[in-house]
Amino acid sequence: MTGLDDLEARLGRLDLRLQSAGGHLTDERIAVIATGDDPTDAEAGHLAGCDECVELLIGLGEGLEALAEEQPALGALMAEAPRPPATRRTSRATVVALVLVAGAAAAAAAGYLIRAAGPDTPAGERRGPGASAPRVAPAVAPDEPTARATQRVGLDSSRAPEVPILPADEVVDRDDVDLGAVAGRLAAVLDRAWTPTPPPAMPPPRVEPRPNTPLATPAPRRTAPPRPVLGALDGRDGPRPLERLPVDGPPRGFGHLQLNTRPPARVFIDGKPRGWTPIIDLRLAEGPHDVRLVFDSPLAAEPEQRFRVLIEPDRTWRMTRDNVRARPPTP
Amino acid sequence: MTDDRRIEEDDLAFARRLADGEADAVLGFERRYRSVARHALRCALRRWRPDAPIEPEDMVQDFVGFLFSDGGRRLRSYRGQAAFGSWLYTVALRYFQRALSRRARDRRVDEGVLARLPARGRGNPEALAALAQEADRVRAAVHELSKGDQLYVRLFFVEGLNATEVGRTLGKGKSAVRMRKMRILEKLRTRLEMPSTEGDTPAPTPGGRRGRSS
Repeated sequence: MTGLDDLEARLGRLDLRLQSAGGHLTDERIAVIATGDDPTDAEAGHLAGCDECVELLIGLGEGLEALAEEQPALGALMAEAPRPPATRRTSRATVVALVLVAGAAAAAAAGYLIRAAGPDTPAGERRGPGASAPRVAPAVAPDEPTARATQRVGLDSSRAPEVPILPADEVVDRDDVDLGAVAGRLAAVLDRAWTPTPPPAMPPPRVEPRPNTPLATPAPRRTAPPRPVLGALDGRDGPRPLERLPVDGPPRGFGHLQLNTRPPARVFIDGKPRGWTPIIDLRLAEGPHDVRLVFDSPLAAEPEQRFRVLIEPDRTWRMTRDNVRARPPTP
Repeated sequence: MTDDRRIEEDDLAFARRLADGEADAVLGFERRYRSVARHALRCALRRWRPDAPIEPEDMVQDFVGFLFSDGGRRLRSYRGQAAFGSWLYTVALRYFQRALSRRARDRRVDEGVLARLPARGRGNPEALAALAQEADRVRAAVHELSKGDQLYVRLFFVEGLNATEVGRTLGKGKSAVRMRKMRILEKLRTRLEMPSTEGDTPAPTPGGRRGRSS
């Protein structure tokens, strides 16, 4: 593990700029990748080297998460759309499961027939006192839930009763039954019943007035907990004038921050919580970062401090802040 | 037809009707999706802060105009693979990213910040040469990785994201991302032929003997 940590530290110190290949990804592909789809090799190769696309992808992940938290009603609009391969995979798995169930049912039916036609045991002992003779055809006809499930996956269960194994009113007589013929009929029934048929054609999408579309009936708005929003939009005061390196600027390096305070404080760097002081060797991108210290302690002179640090590549910015309230002079 | 399938078709049909300028579609866009564009602008402002104040509603309106321009060409490029809301958020974010970075490019040289940074050139030449040699080896090993792994390397070691942020970016779970990172590091270590535990190799003794003593 030590070796991996060393390697990770070395990787963090190096400028690992990768070359971009191919053109920019479409907005739709980026949206699909941000919702969990794996990029293709070509797309990953481009993303690994393209500043604009990777910045967009990171911003999109951050924005979608914030949107889902702040406005759940809007977050529902971002739900991932289904993709045909996933649907096909599900259908195939369902078909395999149903085929297995059908196989088990066929085995049970065959065993029942064999038991019913056994040469040694009298019929009355097997069927129980007063029981009527079993009829084979109803035993293999699909019950209602099975038939419904079959229709769902595109199988034609309606063909099953067309070839009865035995006439419905024919009582199985263990002396007369021909086991070979019964097995053949059973196989024919199962074969025809479980032959997949193409699903019905999809109706064309409606384009004319849809009274029940989500647009016509807006979803009930849930009250989201109040969150701090940027004053840029809601206060109309314009964005905070902060200095940031441009997105297409020179390659960035990384430096470290060591920060300690008296008394201990919660640390927010560029708005993100980074834990409590002391902060030891926190890796940050080079450039300016806004630091906010929140002192919850009654010993603190100020409840909050804000300042900015300038991180330089491969160097450590060390800082200690003393915010202890001065004691009143003793008389 | 499942509900999801219906949603997908609705999104596509909605985008088409929006591109055609149908009144109810435009009304629906104003009701629900304009706030998506506003949120995308807020997100963009967090990432690419402009140096001069902007008027957010003007920018959102510019974006909407861009969306409907040229006969709704941009809207017609939507194929229904992603949810319409996600697609719109992505388009808006790219639009604002370009607009804000264009403003940033105008003030490319941020002398105020750069002047305060200490000079980079330091250290002796031998150390710098060794560092460059090591960097070349690591870069070569990274280039031998698959493209997907290179994307993770980019996010972890160039962008400086942690596992949670990478997971959020790629829509993956945090633990899956951590596992992928460990595998990538293992691959790199193998390629760089680093010993698994450096402390296991006994150091040579001053007298030239090593190992056990009888």
